[in-house]
Amino acid sequence: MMDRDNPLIAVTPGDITGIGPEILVKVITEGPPENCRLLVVGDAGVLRASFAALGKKFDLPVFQKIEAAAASGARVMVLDLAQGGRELLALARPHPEAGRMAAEALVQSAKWAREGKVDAVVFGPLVKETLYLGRKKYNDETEMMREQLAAPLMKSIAKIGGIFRVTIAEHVPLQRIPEFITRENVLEAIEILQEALTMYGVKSPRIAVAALNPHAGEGGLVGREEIDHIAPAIGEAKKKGIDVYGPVPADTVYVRAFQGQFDGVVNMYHDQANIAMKMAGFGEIVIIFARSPAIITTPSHGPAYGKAGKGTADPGNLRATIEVAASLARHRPVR
Amino acid sequence: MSGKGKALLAITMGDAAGSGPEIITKALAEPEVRKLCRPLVIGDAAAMKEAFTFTRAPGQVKAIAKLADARFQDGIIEVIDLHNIQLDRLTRGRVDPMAGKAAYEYIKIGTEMALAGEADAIVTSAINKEALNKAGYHYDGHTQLLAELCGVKDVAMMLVTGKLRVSHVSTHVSLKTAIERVRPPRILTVLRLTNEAVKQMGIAEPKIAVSGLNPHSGEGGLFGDEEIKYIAPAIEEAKQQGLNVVGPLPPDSVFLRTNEGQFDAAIAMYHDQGHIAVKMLGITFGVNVTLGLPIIRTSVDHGTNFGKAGKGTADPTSLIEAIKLASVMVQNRKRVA
Repeated sequence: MMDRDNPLIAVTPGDITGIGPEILVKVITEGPPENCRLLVVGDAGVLRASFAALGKKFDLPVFQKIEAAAASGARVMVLDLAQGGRELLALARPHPEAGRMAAEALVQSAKWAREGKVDAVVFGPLVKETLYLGRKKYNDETEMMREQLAAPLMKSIAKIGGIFRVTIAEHVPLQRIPEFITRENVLEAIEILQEALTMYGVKSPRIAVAALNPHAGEGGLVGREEIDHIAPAIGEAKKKGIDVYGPVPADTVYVRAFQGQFDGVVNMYHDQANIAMKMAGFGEIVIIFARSPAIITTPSHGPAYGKAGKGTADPGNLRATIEVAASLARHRPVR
Repeated sequence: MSGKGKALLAITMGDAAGSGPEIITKALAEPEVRKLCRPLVIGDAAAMKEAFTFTRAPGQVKAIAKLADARFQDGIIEVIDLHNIQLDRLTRGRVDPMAGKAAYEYIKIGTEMALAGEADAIVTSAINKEALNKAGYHYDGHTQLLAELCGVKDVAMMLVTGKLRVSHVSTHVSLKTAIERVRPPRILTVLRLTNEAVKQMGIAEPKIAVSGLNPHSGEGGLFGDEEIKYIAPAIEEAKQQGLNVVGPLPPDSVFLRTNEGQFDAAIAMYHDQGHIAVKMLGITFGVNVTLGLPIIRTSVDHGTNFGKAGKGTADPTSLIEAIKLASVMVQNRKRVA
């Protein structure tokens, strides 16, 4: 029986050769976020060693069965997957076995979330090179979850400060971006933001769509994608009752969003968003998976091998990620 | 006291229907501006007089017919009066071909004065592109017009906001066309022009960062190969020519690093790449500099601001910064020459 006001969040340490276990221990020992319970899903031995490495006493209850853990009433507890792997802790480089452990913990947690046994999942930083599940290698976690959770439409979006953002073509050569700017893709991106913002409790969210060309194409003078694809998608979204604006010139869309004019921004490409984010000084970006059968979030940073084992890693982004997951769980529509 | 050593700046009035005239009354009332330069407005004296009634800035307008009549006294704004605005016909805050034509004439006269060496530099106020076009002048903005008046082709736009100086490989073209412009000769030209300009801004040995085109600068060819094929070779060539250049660096951090002082300037591969970074810093104190002209030209980095025209509330910061930067560049050019 889930408690809506005090959701149970499964948290995985991610790739244990990186900073994942360290930042997780810091979140727990520095005082976990309010109004939620944390279920750490991973190897209990690795967890114990991670506490010891930071000079902290390990006193969390450890469970083998999800049902027993969920019913326990503990604020923070461990679900022991008995994966082993202590020797890989803070190895500071990718290792296939660590990748396998991280993928297994994520997929298991996500399945529990889909079954309603936990309310949300937060997974620690992973590295794409070692994303194995059994013998199968995946290109990224979205691809893995789409297949493992039978959710082919899953897409990652980001929350930066108070703004939700979705990017139509992320890790793609700039030259190929125009191929992705179709009416269908733009409309889908608007709808994804609308769903995510509504799920986050934002009433009638205001969504801006960035243009592709400078000055939003200036009436077709410097590019036609705005006229041919972006504006029609916006028109269609408006017909569906979405409060959507644009195409907004890319060089002012975030200036306006951070002034509070928009709740969400649809970006055409990676740097449109990322240049603005970095200039604004937002380090803590939370990744949220939309069109997912469960609430799943992860910090935007990687395993930071350069910092592994030094005790200096900053847990701020992981903490923010847990808070976003808990908030999404609290606002989630009743099933 | 005329201060002959100070830079003589031809300041164009811009679109009379906008806030340009009002901004000039405020900027030229600043003692620090008067300390740095000898300002001469190229505009319409009646429009300037009326602007004073909106802003109530200290000072008055004096119409003059030619440069030789100018005395450059504090408290007096001398205007080379082209007498080309009929005030009773002008509606502030609206596109007006009369104001567009007049704005063109200010730029033409100002540029000619700078080319003839009568003015040390030209500082331009905002124009309205639609008004310019409706008056029959088909330019996409100041830069194209100035290049034509000066008879040059290889120009580049630099935006300066605080410590962030960004030059652009291309500006007013579609993203598809912008990608085609990313080629070694053009990158090299922009690097060379940027190096010269930054020196004129008072930095003896500029260190310039070059942005990549693709996300993560292509990540070794994974997300695009323009970095490998075009940008890196251009950087190599620039280094061989003795320039201090680094890159290609990831676009999402190169401008932040430049703003933090790690580099004296950055080269953006397309319009929005540089403009997104600059505008996040706020546009009130931004300056636009045209590189590659035989004259020094700086400009405000904002539009005509029709919404504030006639209200006396427009912010003069960008014009003040543009005047300061032009003065610095003039002094350094004299020193180098």
